[in-house]
Amino acid sequence: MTVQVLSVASRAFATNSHDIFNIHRHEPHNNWETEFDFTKENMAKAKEILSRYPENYQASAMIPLLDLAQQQNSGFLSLAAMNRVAEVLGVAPIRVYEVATFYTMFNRSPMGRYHVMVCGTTPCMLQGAKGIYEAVSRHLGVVYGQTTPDKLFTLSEMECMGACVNAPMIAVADYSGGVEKFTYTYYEDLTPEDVVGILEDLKAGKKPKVGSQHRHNAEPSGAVADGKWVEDSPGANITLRGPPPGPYCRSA
Amino acid sequence: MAAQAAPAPADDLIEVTVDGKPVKVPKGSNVLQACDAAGVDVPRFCYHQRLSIAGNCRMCLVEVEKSPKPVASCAMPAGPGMNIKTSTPLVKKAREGVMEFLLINHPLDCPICDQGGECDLQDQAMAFGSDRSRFTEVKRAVVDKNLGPLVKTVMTRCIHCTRCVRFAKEVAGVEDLGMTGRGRDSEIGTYVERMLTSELSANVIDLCPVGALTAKPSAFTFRNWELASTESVDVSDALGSAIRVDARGPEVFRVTPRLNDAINQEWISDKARFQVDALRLQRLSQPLVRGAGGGLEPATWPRALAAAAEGLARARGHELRGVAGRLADVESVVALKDLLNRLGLAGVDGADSVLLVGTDPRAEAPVLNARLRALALAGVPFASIGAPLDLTFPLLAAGDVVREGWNGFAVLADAAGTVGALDLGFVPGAGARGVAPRAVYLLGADDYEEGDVPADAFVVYQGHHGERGAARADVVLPGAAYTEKFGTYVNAEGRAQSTKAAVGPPGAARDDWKVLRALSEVMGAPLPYDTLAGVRARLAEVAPHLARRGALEPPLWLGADALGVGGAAGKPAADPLATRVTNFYQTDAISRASKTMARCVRARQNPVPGL
Amino acid sequence: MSGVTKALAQGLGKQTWREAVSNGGWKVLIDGNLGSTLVEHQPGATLVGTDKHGNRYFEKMDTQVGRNRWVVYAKASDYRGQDPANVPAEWHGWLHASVDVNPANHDFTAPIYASNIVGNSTTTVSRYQPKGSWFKEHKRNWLKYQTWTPPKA
Repeated sequence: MTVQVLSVASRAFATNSHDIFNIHRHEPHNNWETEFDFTKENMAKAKEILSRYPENYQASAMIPLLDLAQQQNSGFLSLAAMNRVAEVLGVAPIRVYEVATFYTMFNRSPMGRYHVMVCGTTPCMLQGAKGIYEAVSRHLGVVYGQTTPDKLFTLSEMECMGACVNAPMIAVADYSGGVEKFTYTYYEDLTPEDVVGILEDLKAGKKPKVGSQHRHNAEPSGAVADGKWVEDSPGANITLRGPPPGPYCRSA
Repeated sequence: MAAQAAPAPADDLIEVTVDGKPVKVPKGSNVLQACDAAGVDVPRFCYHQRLSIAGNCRMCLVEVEKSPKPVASCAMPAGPGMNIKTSTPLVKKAREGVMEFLLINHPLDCPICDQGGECDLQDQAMAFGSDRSRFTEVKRAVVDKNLGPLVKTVMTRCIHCTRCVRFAKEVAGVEDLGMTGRGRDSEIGTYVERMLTSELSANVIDLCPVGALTAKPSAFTFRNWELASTESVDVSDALGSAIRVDARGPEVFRVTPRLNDAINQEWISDKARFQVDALRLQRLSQPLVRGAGGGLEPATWPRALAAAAEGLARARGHELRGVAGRLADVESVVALKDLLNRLGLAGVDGADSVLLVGTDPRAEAPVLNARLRALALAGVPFASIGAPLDLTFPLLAAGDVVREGWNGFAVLADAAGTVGALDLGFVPGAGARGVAPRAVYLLGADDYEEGDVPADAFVVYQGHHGERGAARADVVLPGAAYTEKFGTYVNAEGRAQSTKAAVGPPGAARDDWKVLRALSEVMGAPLPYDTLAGVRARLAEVAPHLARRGALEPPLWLGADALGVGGAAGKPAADPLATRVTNFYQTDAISRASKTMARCVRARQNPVPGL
Repeated sequence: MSGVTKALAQGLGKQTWREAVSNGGWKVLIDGNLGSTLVEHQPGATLVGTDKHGNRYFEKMDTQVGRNRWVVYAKASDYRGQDPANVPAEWHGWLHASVDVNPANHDFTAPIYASNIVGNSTTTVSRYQPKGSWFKEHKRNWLKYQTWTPPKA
């Protein structure tokens, strides 16, 4: 119960980060004793990433390397992972902590296998993102910032992911397969039923349809309205659901 | 540094107009510096002349003609012909807006804030702050960080100017601090709990424009307007940093750095700043004489002087020895030397490469280390001979540094009194060697060699703190500490500087030269001066360069045979060259008596809890 | 006086009456507050619990709001015993309706910063004495420094 209250409260105060604190607290799974090192393959990958940057700007590789470390470490950056990145880059650890705490896509506490991120920016909100969140939350029994007890799903809110034409949408990061099988997938044009189906499929190990759930791409064939997919009438190649109203002061 | 000293040539100047007043500034200056040059005060939080420019507080907004928006003057280079306006309604409104945003999340706890009265935010809020708030939401709160025993944090007060972060990175060279998080959740801290491991860490207290970082040892003990300031010189190391001693009544509460571009710029070491709590502890406040029972017992001055005179008179010729301690001022050393004779006895920044021989500037003079670091980062090669060091900047192999025509030889003395005493020729005469002394006069000397003070010798200790020397002594004469006397100290470069008395000596203690003068009277060989001016006139006779205050003098004793140890010269020492200062926080009688320094030592043993 | 008589008649049992007298109940005649506490309220009130000092806490929820929970101090006969500072934090919360949890049968863990409630020590020997007070052990020591003590021979 306490966790829930804390988490709900944190939504009111924190950024969209999954983490509540911007400082490190030692925990059983994340402390000085925790170990992390890049695997042999990932180290080769890290070397390749480093080679993209000039000698004197090696620290520019920080974000790609943190991403690599996060994928390897089942979705979150432990203290050891950040320290290892600092070591590889030859910078002070605090410089890595700064970056890792700044970006909301770096997680610093353990994640479920799937990180479900619901877009909460204006276009998605207008198209019913609130309903999507409620459906997900009810289905999983968690609120933003929490992980389901079976460690399968972590629910977060995210800012605009640029798929506004197919709003509302969610993104799901799959951390189950390490770096090789890591996927970051968008599911768009969602209704509450769609999103529950997607979660069920993920749980069952199936692969849900990626991208828009109701059309091929972003062609003007319909839109989500009031939690339902509404087809356009044939030939009306517009996304509007009717003739646009004039200014209210002119309406008779 | 060289650029700072020499005025820029005329063609490197550009002319800008500030509030209708034309002013010439060097090329590359920013608008804020131009305003400063014109004598126009621009409010600021994040800008600091010795740190890199961050431009994140936005308080220094000014209007520049032809610019559509107000510009942050610290981050805007001044261009020729620029017309800068700092007192227009636009500027006022812009600054008021910035101030309102800064105050949104700043707590209204000035009455319980140690920065109150010397707070930049408080001062500037008087000019640009609104008298009421439009903010109706919840203020943010930030977890306080534990940065060790010196710096107290109240992070909710932080306005994120990042001065401390830049100081740690650029000047101290110890990257502990950073800004984590983003937006309104950003906070200054170390992310993982750890103390600041720099010997200069407490300078962030001065840098902090608000009350987020304040002094932990002196928390809640004073208000700055209660303190009387005295400009003095630090003696905790041989650098002679310029300090301001703040006292209330008979107590010294605080030491802060004073601007001195030639020596310490505007930084001082943690020891210089926080050893002052020891000025109240373990003080010698009354003369002590070893009684019949074998213990030291309080005595009156006449009795103590008589006892000292009687004991010293037993020694003949070279059997009388004087030892000057680490904190002995030149006046008392010259008085002691004169007394002993009467009783029958005889620059760093100009270097083109630097070789550090058996020294650890980080422990011996941290402020000097910060300046060496600036040189190293500017491309001057550094190398060290001796024990391996972590100086916060890279070192080369010695062979790469020592070249033809090399000019880098400087000796870093490790105590404030050393150079002055050597300049006065306060070294053993030829006849003294091999003679076991029967009487020893310890002038504040607690670090004497065991062999200098035989077990059967009569020992007079004159000093301000009770320690090894006083415990060994047969007569203890209480003297004054550096905040209690007008004493001349010669720093490692050879610069003679004066401390000034901020408070009086405790109890029956007296100025050191006065004690020696009184003793000479009792011993029947009165010294020929009885004022401070007299002592200094005598000083000018013995060592004329010591009368020229603040000037840089080539050290007289270097290269001369004044050290008088010719027999041992040329033979390489068997031990590896290493610094004598193994514990930066406790080097002399004052810092060893300080509770704060003891806490620092303890904290340093485990700077990162849990690691 | 009729109220008292009525209350006595209504059901002030022998036990309660004896208790009232032993707590200085005869003072009811001169102390109206005590009278209202012991005689008017106590009949029908529930004794909710007793704290470590022996103060007893009563509740009678059908009386006027604000007067429905009260404390009868253990040392009510002593004027120094009638001391609100004697009330422990958990009972204070209950008395002031901050919490409805009955501290008597609730495992109350004191926070680490909680000090021991000893009541108001004014007029007692252990009362606070400002520095320089005549009753202070080392009174009027304004010395701002500490003298070194030589080691014993």
